[in-house]
Amino acid sequence: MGKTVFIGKPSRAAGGWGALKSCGKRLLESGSPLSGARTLLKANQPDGFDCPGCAWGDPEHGSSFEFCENGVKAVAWEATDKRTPPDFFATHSVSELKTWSDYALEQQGRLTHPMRYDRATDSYVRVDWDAAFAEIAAILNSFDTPDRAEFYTSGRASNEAAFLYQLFVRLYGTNNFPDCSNMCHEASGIAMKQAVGVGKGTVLLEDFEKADAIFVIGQNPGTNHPRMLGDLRRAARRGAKIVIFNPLRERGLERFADPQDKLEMLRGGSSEIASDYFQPRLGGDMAAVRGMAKAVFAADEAARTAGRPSVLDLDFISRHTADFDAYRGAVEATGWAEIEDQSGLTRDEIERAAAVYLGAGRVICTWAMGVTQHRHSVITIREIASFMMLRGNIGKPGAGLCPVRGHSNVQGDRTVGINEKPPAAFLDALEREFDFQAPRHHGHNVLAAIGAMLDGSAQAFIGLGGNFARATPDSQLIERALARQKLTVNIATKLNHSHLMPGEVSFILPCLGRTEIDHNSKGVSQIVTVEDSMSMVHGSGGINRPASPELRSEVAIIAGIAAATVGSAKVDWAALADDYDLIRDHIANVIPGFENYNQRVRKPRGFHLRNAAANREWETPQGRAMFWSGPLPDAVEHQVARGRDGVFVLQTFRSHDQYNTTIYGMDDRYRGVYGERNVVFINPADLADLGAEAGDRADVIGRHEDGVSRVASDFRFVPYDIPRGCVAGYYPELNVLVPLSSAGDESDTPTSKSVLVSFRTKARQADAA
Amino acid sequence: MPDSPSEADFLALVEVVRRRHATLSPLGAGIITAISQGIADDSRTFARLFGIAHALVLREINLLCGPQAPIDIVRRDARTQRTYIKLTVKGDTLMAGVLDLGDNVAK
Repeated sequence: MGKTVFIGKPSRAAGGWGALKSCGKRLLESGSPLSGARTLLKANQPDGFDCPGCAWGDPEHGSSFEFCENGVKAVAWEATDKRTPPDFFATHSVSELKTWSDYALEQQGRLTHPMRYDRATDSYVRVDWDAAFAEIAAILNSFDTPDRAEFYTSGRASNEAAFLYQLFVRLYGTNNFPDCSNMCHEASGIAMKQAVGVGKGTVLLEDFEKADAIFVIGQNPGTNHPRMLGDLRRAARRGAKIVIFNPLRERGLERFADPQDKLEMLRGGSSEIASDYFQPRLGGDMAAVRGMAKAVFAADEAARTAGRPSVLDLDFISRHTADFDAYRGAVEATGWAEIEDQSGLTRDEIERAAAVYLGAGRVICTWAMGVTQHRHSVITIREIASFMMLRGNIGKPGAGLCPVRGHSNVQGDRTVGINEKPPAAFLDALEREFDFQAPRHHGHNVLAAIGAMLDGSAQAFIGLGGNFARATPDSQLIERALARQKLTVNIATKLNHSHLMPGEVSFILPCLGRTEIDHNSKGVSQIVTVEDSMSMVHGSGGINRPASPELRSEVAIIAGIAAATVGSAKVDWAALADDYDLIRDHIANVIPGFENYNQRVRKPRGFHLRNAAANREWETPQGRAMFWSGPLPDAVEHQVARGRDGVFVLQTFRSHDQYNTTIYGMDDRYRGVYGERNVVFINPADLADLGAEAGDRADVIGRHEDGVSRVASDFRFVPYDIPRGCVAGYYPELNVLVPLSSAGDESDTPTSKSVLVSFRTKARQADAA
Repeated sequence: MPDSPSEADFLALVEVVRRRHATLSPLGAGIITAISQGIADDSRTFARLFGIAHALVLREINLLCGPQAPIDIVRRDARTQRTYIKLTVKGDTLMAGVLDLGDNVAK
């Protein structure tokens, strides 16, 4: 009937979208009093939807997920119609499921009910929520000390879930917070805290619009933060120089077709991104940066000799920094031969990169795990910060330091207290707010937690999201560690291998994902908040109906465990779970920068957490930004490998069809790999030296000298543009080769980009036989 | 009455829908009106035509849909999340009453 009385001409082109869209825009701009459309278009904007794909800034805050492969995959992964109900577990034992791949497990779809492991049948069986909470509480309360339990956090957890989690755990009595940032950007936090007093990036998304040059070091945004490519592309188009340091030639860093540019997509075109692309050897970034600093000092010397002004920002250096002379001395004492050998780049290449730096008034430097997962990561980031300070490239528009985080809220989780070494001021504020005595002794990070689980001093593992067993190094050890626990609890949306390594008592507690609408007891949709890599905090409300009526939010699950374990005398857990605004009020009272949290987070794009270093306030013990004046490492792994016959240095990385441990598909289209993941990328000359050819298969043998035998079996060689002596392959399959005993100095980050390996090719196996 | 539906026509109709169904949000009323008028019967088209983030449209559709609700989901594209929607009997009835009144309002 409706269409018979249509109020106008049924032409969408003429009277449809053009008029309606302009109507929306005009009304949004005018802020005029309600006429239906103003609210129609504006109503939900403050409660936008945060793309769960990655931690890159999100100016649109609602539609970005559609214009990014990662976003599409992340949302589709969670919004699947497939389910893993109790019946599934009745027909598949844990022993059987262990033989499945991670991909196959997650393809079964969303978990629907809380499940408890039944050892008699070797399968998970349905359990009531309250019964699960009571049993978990009973075991946790049976330990002689709360330090027997490890509380892991994935970067997916919202600020509200993470804050409640840390509050519960500290009320329980421990600071054992192994979390995923221990395995990725811990080195960035530590180094930046030492250098500039703040462990977070100093730039905003808007700075990318102002930078004259952007240095991208050890990072592959095409796969890990695709929306970043849009910002790099816009910068390149307006003439900014994009300088890449990456051992592998990554197509996504060379050219990029922006999905939001319809014309470009229709024409099948793309835009150039990298103006200069340098391929250092694995672990060679620090030497490359030192080389650039050496070139800058040489240019400065030449300028002074010629009577020209210094090329350095002497005002910044004198007013804001310390230890400059020592740094200059250290750089000038480092010879070019040492720099070239360690970096794997020529002096000419390094001087070319330095020339870009010298020609730019405003420079941003970004980096990711290509920098942070080495033994010398902390000093590499200190070197980067020192280099950037030479020309005052911190704390001014269009310039700064930008460690690009992985998961969408890994930075926020640390901000709200997921920290095994919490600052005293945070604990003081937490104690005031909740009237209790928080534990003051340091807890366990990931490596310490694994150690404690292996030696028996830890007896419980609680995982707030993630896939701990696959994400961690020496993954074959983790099953042994988890199996020794009296209690393992995994709060999860989908089944993964961590759930198949049950302790004495084991639960899988299914939770809502970020894409799902989270209604409280009054039927009100709740929002959660997250912090991106630029320290923007914004709200996110679900968009889909929950996968099962039995699901609970992460907040509700934590509240349930907490109420059962520590009681509700100090904290009304049920009230907090029913109204996340109350949690945010507590956060605002405890953590500086979150004042008027509930009000500010409901503004479009949310709010920026103030960054002292970005304002040239240095919260270091010296009150200044600190140059670092140590030497280069004696030798990095590729130099060690060179002295050992047939030994290479391996880096693990993601494929284009995965995010962290989640495998969305079996392809890696940028690198030309389809339908498989057991591959090793290798320089063609190295492949020839091995007597192998493209497509040949080999076992990858760990060559870390700690007496542990490590083998990843049956991988296919893929010739690739990668420096000689360096090879690469996918995480988490190759985590079996990453030694638990090899970690970053000061950071304890696994050295996943510096793994010594050799190959046992099929031909050699045949010869041996 | 102009040849093509103007924004004012559309908004007037949305207002009437909201008056007759007080629990509807403006966005929800807009989606129902758009289906009824043949403007958009899927989430992405609606989002594109009205310049609204697709996520927000999806949320509203998911809050609105169901056999006893004014709209229901026909199918959903697993990759893009594009969600196809239709009016239910309840939705048709609602819009029938609205359009009679809307026509009067417009005149």
